[in-house]
Amino acid sequence: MKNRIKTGLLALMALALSFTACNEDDPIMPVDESRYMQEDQMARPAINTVFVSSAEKDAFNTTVPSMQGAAFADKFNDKLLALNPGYSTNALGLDAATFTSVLATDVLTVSTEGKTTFFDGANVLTGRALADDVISVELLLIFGGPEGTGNPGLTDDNVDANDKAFLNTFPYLATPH
Amino acid sequence: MKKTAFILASVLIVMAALFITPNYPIAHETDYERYLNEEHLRNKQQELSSRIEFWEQKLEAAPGNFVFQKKLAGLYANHFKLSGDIRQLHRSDSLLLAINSRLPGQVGVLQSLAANAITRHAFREAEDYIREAVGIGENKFTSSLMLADVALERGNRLEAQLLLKDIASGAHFDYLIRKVKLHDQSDELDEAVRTMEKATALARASGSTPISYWSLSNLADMYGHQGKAGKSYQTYLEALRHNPAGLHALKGIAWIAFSHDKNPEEAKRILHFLQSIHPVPDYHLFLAEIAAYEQDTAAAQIYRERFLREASQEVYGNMYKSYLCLLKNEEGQASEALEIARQEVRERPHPMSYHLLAWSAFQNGNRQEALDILDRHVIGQTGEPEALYHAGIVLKESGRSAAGKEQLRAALEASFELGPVAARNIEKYLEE
Repeated sequence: MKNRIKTGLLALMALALSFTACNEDDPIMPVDESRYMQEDQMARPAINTVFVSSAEKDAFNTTVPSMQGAAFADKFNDKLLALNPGYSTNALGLDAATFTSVLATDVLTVSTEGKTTFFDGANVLTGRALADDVISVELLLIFGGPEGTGNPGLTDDNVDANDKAFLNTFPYLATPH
Repeated sequence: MKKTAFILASVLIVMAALFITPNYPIAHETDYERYLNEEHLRNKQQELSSRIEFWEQKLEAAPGNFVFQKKLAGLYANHFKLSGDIRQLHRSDSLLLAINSRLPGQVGVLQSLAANAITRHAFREAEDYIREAVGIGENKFTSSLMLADVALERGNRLEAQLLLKDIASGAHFDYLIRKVKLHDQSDELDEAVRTMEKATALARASGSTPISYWSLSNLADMYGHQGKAGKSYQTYLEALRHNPAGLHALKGIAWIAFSHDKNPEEAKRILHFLQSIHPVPDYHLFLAEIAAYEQDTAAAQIYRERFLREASQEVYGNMYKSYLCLLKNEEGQASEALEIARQEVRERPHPMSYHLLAWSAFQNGNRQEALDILDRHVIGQTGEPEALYHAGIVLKESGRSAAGKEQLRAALEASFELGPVAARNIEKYLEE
């Protein structure tokens, strides 16, 4: 009985509403965005996106391009053959191993002489102009076979131009929309 | 002679200071009056609303576009943080769930789902999401930090320690703020504060407003844990200089006005302001505590009922479970309290939850069970004053008087944090 009374007395008193820290009532921790870390890198559009698996993303994104070939060419090769098991060579005449060793070093080459283009039928990877249809070119090289005529349903993204005109002066890109 | 008089006078002044200081009010409204202004929060909310509107329009034009959905999910989660409107958090979750069912396995989406689940105190759910993200591998740094956070909530201290050792350097903010929690959970308060001071220095140096505010308001809380009300107050003020809409810091100042200055009127004034701009259940509980201190039984009862009614709503999920457990025990609904404590232990099996389980078992008359739980999971494993306080009562009332008093004396050292009502109660127990 004595204890029952005491518990009753406690009724008004016992709620120790301690003033708890943020991290107890709102246990979410903030993210320190002030410290910079290498998180991503990309040169040829969509190559990192398509050829690097989620498990390898962090590693690829923090590997300097000069080391990428050695570390990732085999994996790119596996991925290429998974995407297109019938791959022999492509329109550039590259077999799977050669093609993927080019791709794995994810840099954008540019020729200081001549035309700047991703691929225009004559020039290959001499740079990249804004209006180049890079995704279709990549699809063609992955799926199109030696003549560029294989897998016709897979070799064109069917997006032929930007949906807004590019500028003729700096910054050349279309205005945000 | 002159010298002796001088020394005597000095001694008297020092003695007077020693006696007077503890009761000298710390909170001065001139320091923080400018923050009791709804403009600060309204401006932030308006900015957020216009961003939400922008992306809503985009989504309307392109229904199902997951990029827009992701943007909105983040904005709605922030909206909840500013407005306290829990429906915004649910809105964020439903967008993320829609993306996740259509395009499963996106690490960013899983991380956001885990973050929202942590905010909802749904720690098992959070663990599932974040383990999936870690398994996928992309952006492992952030996923691993979040897994460490969840591990700490789920009582897996060793896993948290290993993860942190693996991914972060001792000099990084991300590492330090988690180290604080490890120290805190190991009852190493002074070490926790020193570590938090280091993290705060990094936050200040970074020039980032959100993490400066977060760090300072947490550091202020921790000075409060140490009973250093003056230092705590100054740190809340510094936090408010970084974020004039810092509700947590204002609530902290209200606590100082109440618990240290014994100025319930001023505490109520701040709380009523907070309630008017940020309608969440939390403030009812604080107001109930003040009313109990003022021996206004009727008001205390009204605030408790309001809290019980609002915080029990299903939309809040687990968010208020620990408070509901304590309150239901007091309201004589001990069996309901016990059920809540069991849920809390399943969700968050760490010493604080076990202390609720022991307290509820005790209130249900199961003394032996309460003692067993305390011995196994609580005593010596946490320095949280609330746990010491309740453990002390259970031990004392169950025939282990000396051990109980030891816990109660330790709790009394944190009387500022526990508040005057609990402190008065502890003193009564110690006199018996």
